[in-house]
Amino acid sequence: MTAQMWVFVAYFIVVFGIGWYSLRATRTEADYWIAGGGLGWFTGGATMAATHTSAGTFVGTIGVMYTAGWSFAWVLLSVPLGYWFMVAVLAPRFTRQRELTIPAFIETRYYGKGVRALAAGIILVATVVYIQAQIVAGGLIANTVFGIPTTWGMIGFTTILLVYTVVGGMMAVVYTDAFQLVVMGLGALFAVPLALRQVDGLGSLLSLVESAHPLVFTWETMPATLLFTMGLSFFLGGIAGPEKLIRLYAMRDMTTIRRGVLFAIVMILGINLLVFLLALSSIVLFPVLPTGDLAMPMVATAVLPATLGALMLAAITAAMMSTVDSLLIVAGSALSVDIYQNLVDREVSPATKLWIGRIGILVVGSVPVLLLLSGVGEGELVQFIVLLFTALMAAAFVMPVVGGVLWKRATREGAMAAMSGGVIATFLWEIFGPASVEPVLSGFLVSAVLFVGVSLVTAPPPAHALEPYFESTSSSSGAPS
Amino acid sequence: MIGPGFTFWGVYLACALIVVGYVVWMIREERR
Repeated sequence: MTAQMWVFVAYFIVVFGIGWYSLRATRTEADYWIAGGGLGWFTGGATMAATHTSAGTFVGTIGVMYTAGWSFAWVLLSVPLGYWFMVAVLAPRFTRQRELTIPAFIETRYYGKGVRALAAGIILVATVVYIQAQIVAGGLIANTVFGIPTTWGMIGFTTILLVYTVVGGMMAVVYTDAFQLVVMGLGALFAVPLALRQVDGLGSLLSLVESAHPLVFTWETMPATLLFTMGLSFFLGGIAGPEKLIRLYAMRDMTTIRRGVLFAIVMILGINLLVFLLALSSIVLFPVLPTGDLAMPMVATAVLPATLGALMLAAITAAMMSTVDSLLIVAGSALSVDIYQNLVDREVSPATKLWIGRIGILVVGSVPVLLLLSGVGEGELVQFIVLLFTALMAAAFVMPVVGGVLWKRATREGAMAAMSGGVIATFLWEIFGPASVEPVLSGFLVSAVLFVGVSLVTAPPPAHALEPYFESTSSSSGAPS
Repeated sequence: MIGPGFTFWGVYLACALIVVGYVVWMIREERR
């Protein structure tokens, strides 16, 4: 076995160990879906940061920067601002009543099962597409490290992910995320000085980059409208992505949430700022790659010594797995809690609920790889799919979630119109709109107009729907833990 | 032009300012 293989085998052993521990610690449904709702700032923040950081960060961002230059780096600023808004404005009201899933919040606030099922359906479809993109990246890594065909790599990664997520639920996801965040941090931290040494330090790097790619530090490589709408996408997606919102229910209280998100922001910015330097180095070291998405694998295999290169590849894998496992939880709960238990079979015992949850994750986790094997949705543009997913989540959920806790007049019909209209407008723009403006803009605007307009012309919500979120007493009672 | 200039360093500076702003806000929230 090569050094690379040893690094990966050790890595998978740790992940399985955490899965096994989590299986023993999971007793209730709340343990399985929100890790019991008692996470501290370190684990809560670490899982937030690890979920945010996907293969899109390590492969996609470097790819975009390799071709389009540094101006893309400025989009990063929208990420901490989105999280800050989420903690300061949304979280204090949103967490007053703790739920197990985001569609469950939608049912409580919008007093209807149909609106909950709609939210769950949107999550399911969008998540499957997103998981596909991440698994393709995983297949490519397995091909590089183990020399096995990409298809077997995708199947292998899906199996590993499903084993620990199905058995350990959110507990396993949270603790493996914390471990994977460490792997990502170490990977980026060790790779940057070595890459910089290859180009004689930071000062020399900047002038070398400019001579290899004269427009790299200008604003002429990407349209301003595209940069701005990409930023809007990350800002809005940061506020209302279900995989992020559910972590607010998983953390203990508001103080923990504020500290946890600070930790997440610091880690996300730190990892991204390091990865940006790797992108610049790759412009100098490999000036003529056929596609930007190859830049990161080239740095890992050609610049770094074998063991560190393996650590870097493990970091990309960690980024991919820690995002997919969180999405599996969100999608699995949408299927088994929000759709099956909510609409089909309400009278089940707690033990049966756990099993239904496990089957739900197994089903949603198998679909993406089965679709890929049958040739549906094969694409390599990782960052492109990340942005489409973020836009869909922003268009569907920002208005119903943020508007729901800030505006008493918001109605069920308004929320349904906002979700479906936002999703449709996002897709239409993606297909027919100009590429210089991200689809999130049209999706979000249509969603906002429908939310307000339809709410105003329909009957006001009943008092019981508003009571959990608009009472002046603030507490996080009602926790199912 | 000072090297690649503000386009490069500005991102790092802005990130640092946001983190400092968040910490100040957080401390004020916890004192309330």
